[in-house]
Amino acid sequence: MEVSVVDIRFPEFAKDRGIGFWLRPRNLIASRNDLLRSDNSNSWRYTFGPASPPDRSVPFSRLLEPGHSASEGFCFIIIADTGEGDRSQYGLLPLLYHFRPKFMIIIGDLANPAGRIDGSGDRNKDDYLAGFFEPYRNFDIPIWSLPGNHEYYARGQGQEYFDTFCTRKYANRWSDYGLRLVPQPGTYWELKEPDSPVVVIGLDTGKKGNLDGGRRFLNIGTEMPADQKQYRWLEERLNLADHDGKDVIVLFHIPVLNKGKKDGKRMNTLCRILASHPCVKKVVCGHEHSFQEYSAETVQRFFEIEFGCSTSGIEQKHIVNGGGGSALHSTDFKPRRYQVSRLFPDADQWKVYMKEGGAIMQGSWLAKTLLGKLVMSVNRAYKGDGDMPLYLSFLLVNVHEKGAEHPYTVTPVWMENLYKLYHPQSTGVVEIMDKNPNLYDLEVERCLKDNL
Amino acid sequence: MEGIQSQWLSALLGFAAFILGLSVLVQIIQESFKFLSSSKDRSYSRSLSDFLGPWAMQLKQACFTLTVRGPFQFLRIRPQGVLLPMDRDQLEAALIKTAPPWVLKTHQMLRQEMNWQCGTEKKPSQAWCRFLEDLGKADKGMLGYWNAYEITQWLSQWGHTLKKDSKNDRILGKINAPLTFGAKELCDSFQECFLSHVSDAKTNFPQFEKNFEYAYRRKNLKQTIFIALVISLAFDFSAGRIWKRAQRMSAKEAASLAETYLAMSEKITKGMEAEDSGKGQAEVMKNLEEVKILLTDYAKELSSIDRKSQDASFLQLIKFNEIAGRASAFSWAWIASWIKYIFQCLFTALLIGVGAPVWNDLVKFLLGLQQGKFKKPLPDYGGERG
Repeated sequence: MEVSVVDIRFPEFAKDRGIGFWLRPRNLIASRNDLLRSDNSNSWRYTFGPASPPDRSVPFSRLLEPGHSASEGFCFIIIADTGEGDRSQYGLLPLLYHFRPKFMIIIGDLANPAGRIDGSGDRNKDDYLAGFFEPYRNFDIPIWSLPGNHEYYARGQGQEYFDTFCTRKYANRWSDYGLRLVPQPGTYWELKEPDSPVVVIGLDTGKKGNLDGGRRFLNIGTEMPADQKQYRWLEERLNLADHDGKDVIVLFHIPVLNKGKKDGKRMNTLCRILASHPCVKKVVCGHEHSFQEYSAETVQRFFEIEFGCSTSGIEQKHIVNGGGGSALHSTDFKPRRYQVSRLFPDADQWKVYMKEGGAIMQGSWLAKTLLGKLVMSVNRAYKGDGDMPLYLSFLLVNVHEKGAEHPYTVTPVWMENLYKLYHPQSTGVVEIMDKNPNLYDLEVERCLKDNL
Repeated sequence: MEGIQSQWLSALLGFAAFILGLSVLVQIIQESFKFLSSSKDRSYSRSLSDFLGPWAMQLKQACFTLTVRGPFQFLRIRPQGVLLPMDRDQLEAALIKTAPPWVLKTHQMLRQEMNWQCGTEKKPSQAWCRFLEDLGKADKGMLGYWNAYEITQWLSQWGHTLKKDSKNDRILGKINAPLTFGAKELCDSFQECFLSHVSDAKTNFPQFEKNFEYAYRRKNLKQTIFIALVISLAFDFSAGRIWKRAQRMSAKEAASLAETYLAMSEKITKGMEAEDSGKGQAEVMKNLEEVKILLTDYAKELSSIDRKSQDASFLQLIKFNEIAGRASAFSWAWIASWIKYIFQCLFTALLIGVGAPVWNDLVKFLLGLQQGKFKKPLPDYGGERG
């Protein structure tokens, strides 16, 4: 395949957020806050806002353009693990702009490394600025999100996230960066519409995915209670969707099925709830920086083996959708109990990624320092973190107009190489933040994979 | 009246006087440090951040309207330092300033309209109509368009009508005001809709004040104990050494020492009062001078215990070999003597942490007992400790 020779211009500061940024002791410590501080997110999430939060169920039309009815159909993007603020995050922008979504949902980790906010405007201290506001500047659409583990690492233990997405406290910031603020009703929510065949439910899995509760730091102290409130709310919403005969897409950050095995150890109640509602058709997560799809049969087997649930009538796929711009995680893992039906990048592509990233990293003085070597020996994915716009992915959801043959489609979009998106004959300079990217249609088509 | 002449009383008086002297010393250092480091303001900033969330730090940019020219700065700048304690109205005004321009403008116009209406429903003023005209011209793609759009949606709930412009569909259109409207109701609704976080902060302000007072007091106490511990460790003011010295004092010596430090304590208290009344900056500089004199006096007193040949005119830092005695380095006895020393210094620090006013009253009481002029201690210690 011939690759274009366009000169893609990234913002100057995007190159400062690569491996060097992560290796700074301040950021290294902040990004490993899960090891250093206890997890009380089941309590924290209820202290952020008012004691009686607004209705968590919001119509799609609130996120659509004025005058645009949900029954006319609309499309939106589901993406996760975006917030590194580096070239790999910016690398997805041309595709995101190309599809002209009505709104976008980010499933966590949108302000790495630690969801910090700094009033001084220093992007190295303000993760929301570098990982969210600057990359999506002038996108001009509403962006909803769910908190990931990194958003809970901040000093305010997630308060920064809540203030940004669920209140008007930072309305000025949204306005300054040309983004439309539609405050979320909380850290977990539902999007639905009477006419729409699909319901989207977003859940908050907290700092470590301990929705069932868990012991405190180093197993000292009293146990954190389970988030019964969120579970009750989810049950109620799923019962209603079952009753209305709607399809539900459930989104949350930390996956329960990852790399072919059970992952979320303290989300068993969540799995049991999901296994008992036929309306749930897709479960989309993030956290792991790759794309993995688990077929309905595999998910059935997973529920039966792990939870002893009867799965008659359950047809749900699980998707790990964490390739939204952060440095990739390895995908050359051994086959395990639960087979991954689609994987991106696959093992061969992963080798290419590591090779190209490794070549860049070898030229970096940081890789030769003791700290660099230590970090890379702990997590080998760092060896390939060359900050390249390669093998990124997201989901494109099209809700069709009323009466269409397929009420909605969920399409995985896999971008192998940003440079391939431009016509092989094109030359010249391309601004990565150009809102009207001139992409090569044939290649964009190749990015669209079979619907889920 | 006959006074009580006892060796124990003299020792106790001497000990209390020493601790009073140290408390005064710590107080001087702490007050100077607090002034130079804007300790109260930093504490306020932190409390505000805890109370309102990290968002409160936006006020650093929003609430300063003055510009200053600092040392070696040729351009005038807005100060970006800590936040000074604000009262409720100041805080509200500052928080409102963090809102987006269209929200800010609408709020201002509604306040203006409210003043103009003086509590009765009237037809919209010229200024309000002009504002609506401007709002309707907000162009899609322009920064702030979505805020203008939301405000228009909100206005439509209050009798305003929007007519789209047939020639230009990128702008919001023409907004018409109703014949009459109550600006007060509109303003309240606007605040609830767009500035609810400001109203919450205003409602909960008394609780915030309490939180701040408590946090500041706690911080001061911690600071007092820390400074006291550092001084005790650095200059060997362990409780054991002070007690040994006090035991060797005659009644006359103890009384003289007590009177000296009582006088010093009162002088300092007066200085603090002057500071509170706004004459304090010169006092702080004077205090810094006094720290040196006091420390030298103190070292002189204590040096007469068991160090025969030292120059008491200058502060003696801790002599490590004396702490450990004759024990060989890193032996169990050596470690034990160090632990003992650290605990004794910690004990001194805790005693100092009780506060100069308490020691002042105790010394007065003991002096009264010794001299037969017993006075009842003051009922209220008052003021900040340390």
